[in-house]
Amino acid sequence: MHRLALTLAFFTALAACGTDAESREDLESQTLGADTVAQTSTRAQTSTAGSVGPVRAAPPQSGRAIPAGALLTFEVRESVSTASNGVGDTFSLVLVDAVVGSGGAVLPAGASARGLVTEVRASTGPMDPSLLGLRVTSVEAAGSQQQILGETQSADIDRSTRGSGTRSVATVATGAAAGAIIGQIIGRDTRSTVAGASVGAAVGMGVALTTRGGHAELPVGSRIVVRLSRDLTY
Amino acid sequence: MNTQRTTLRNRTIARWLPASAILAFSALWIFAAEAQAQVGIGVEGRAGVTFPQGDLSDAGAEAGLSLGAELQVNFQRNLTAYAGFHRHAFNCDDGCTLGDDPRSTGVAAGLKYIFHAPGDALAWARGGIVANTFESSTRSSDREIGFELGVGADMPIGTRLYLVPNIGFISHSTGNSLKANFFTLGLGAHVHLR
Repeated sequence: MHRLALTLAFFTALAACGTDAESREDLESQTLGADTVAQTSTRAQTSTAGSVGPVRAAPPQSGRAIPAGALLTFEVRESVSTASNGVGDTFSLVLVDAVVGSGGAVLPAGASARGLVTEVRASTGPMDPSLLGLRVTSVEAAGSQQQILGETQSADIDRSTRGSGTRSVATVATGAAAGAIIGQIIGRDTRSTVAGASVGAAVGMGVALTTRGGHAELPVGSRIVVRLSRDLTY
Repeated sequence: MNTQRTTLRNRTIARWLPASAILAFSALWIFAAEAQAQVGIGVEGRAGVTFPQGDLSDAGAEAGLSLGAELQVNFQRNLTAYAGFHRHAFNCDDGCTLGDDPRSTGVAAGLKYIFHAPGDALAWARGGIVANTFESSTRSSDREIGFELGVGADMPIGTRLYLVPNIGFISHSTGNSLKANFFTLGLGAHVHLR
């Protein structure tokens, strides 16, 4: 009987130990989750007020929100091009029109914003369009940058496809022919004509090289319209 | 005797060639129109330079100016028929034996094949016959049959306007031992009328 009591006591203690272990795992899991949320919140909050440190507590909500679906029109302040930018580059923008939300939320006209280059591909030929992927990542609100999530509705990207080889050759030939005619009129002999053709061909080649295109560019002053896909709260 | 007969035959052909070319061109146009094909019609003016070769070069001719005008009918996607007239001049100064103001003048008709490829410039090659006279202050030939070959490209610079750089080679006899062979390097302006 005493043995039975000891055995029961042993298994009870063992069971109790197991429960403790599971509880710790649960606690760690919750802690990790909260930490992740906190970190995410911290990131958002850092750009909101900067006063909230890396704490696990949920950030206080002021109730100010720009609702999902709102259209934000930005003007580009730095030129972005497939010729000079790479994926990961950032650029600056400003909000063109003020946007009013709920709870006194206002994004004033002129608020600064940041954009990110997400994709860059230059054209390799007439059938291969150039590609410039962009995302507006944050906008200034309440004195700091707020991350935004939205879809780009339109962007004034100047795109060109790379000119064909035929066009390049034709451009050189055009220069050569024009130069030859001028050389002939001036010199009235073969040497002058050939010299004119040579100079014209060189000019044509320069024109062909500088105008063959193939890049996409978002010039300064162009606009990007973003539709918020998630409420912007701050 | 044989030479005389050949010359006579050539002259007869040369006399009737322009009219024949115009008739053939008109027939082609009417045929295409009746077939309700998408016929494109354009006119082209050309200016350029000539580079004398062979006998002309040996005789001391130098490069000169070239002018021309054509009517073109695009009756198939890749094929265009053309007919027009041209004047190719050469300079003849020191040591030149051709006389003053040598020039090859006449009509040409032929077919132009357009290489449709991705891109906005259309490369083409063409070939046809010419019926030209060769004249200068000391020479005057009858219209003689020859041929022309050329390559170029149509570069759009407007809705209906194309810039046409081109290179060509023309060869025709002058009724005597002199053969007129020369290259041309030119620039044309092509207007699509429809």
